[in-house]
Amino acid sequence: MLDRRDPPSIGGVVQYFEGDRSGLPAAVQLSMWITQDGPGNEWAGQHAGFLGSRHDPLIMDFKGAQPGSLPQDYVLGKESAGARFEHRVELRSRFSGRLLAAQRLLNSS
Amino acid sequence: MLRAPPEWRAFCIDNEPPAMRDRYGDHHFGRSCLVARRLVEAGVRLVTVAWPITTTTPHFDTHANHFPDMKDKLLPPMDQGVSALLEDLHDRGLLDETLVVCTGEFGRTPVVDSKPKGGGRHHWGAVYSTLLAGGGVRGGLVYGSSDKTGARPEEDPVHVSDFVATIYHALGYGRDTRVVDLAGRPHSIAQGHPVMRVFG
Repeated sequence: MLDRRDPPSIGGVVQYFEGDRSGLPAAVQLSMWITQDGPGNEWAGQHAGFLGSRHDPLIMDFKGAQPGSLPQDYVLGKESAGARFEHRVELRSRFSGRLLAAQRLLNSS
Repeated sequence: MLRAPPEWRAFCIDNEPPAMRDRYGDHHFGRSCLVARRLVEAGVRLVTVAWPITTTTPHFDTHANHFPDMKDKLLPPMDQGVSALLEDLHDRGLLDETLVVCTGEFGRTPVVDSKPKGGGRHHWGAVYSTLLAGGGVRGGLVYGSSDKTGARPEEDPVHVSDFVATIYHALGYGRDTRVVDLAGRPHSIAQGHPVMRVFG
C-alpha cells in the first residue's frame, strides 16, 4: 500500500531533481496506478513518498480507456470550450490587470 | 492549467503513421509503449508503463491458467510493444541514451502447480530474471545465473538495491545522491551498488 512515509520511487526522485522539463513532467507513469484491488489499494513504490506530493511523478490514469490521446480529465468539455472558455480567459486577464494595477499603486505609495 | 501546452501533444498518437501504430500494436500496452517513445522524444526523463490489466490482458499473477495466459494473452502484446519500442528508439538514435527495463517485483515458483487448470506458478522472491536494453547496456549479455531448478541465485546475485542503483546510475545519479525529506533530513536514494559490468 502507498504510504507517505515510504521512500520515494525512482520517478519521485527524478521529479524531485528535475521538476517539469520542456513543458512536461520529468517523470510520467502510464496508463494506470499499479494495483489488483482497485482505487484506495494502490501498491507501494509509485509516488514520491516522504518527499511530498509536489514531487510525485505524473500518474496518467486513463481509467480503463486506451492511451493514445489525452484522458478526458485533461481536455476541455463541450460546456467550457469555445466562446465560453474565451470569456473565462478574458475575465481572468481583467482580474489580473486590476491586481497588477493595485500592486503598482501600493508600491508607489 | 487553463490551456494544455502544445508539448502535451506527446500523449496523442493520432499523427503517427498507421504502419508505426501497427508495429506497436493497437492494444493497450502497445499504445502505451508508443506514447512512451513520444514522451522520451519530448524530453521526459523517466516513463513508467504499468502492465495494463484490461478485459483482454489479465495480470501476470499467474496462480492459475499460467501457460495458456502467457502464450495467448500476456507475452504476445508484451513482445510486440517492447520489440517495437526498442526498434523505434534505435531507428531514432535514442536507444544509446535510453535505458529500457522490463521487470516485475518478484518471480514465480520454479515448480509448476499442476492442480489449477492451465497450471499455476505462485509468488517466488528468491530469484527471477529481468531485462535491460539500451542506455549503454551491452547487448546479448546474460548476467548472473540461478541454480539448476531456477530456485536460488548461483553466480553474481543482484540484490534489488543493486538493481535500483543500476537504474539510478544510468539516469546519472551516483551513490552519493541525497534527497531531503519534509523535515529537512537527508536520505540516500539507494543503498546498493550499480552493476557496472552490464555497461559497455
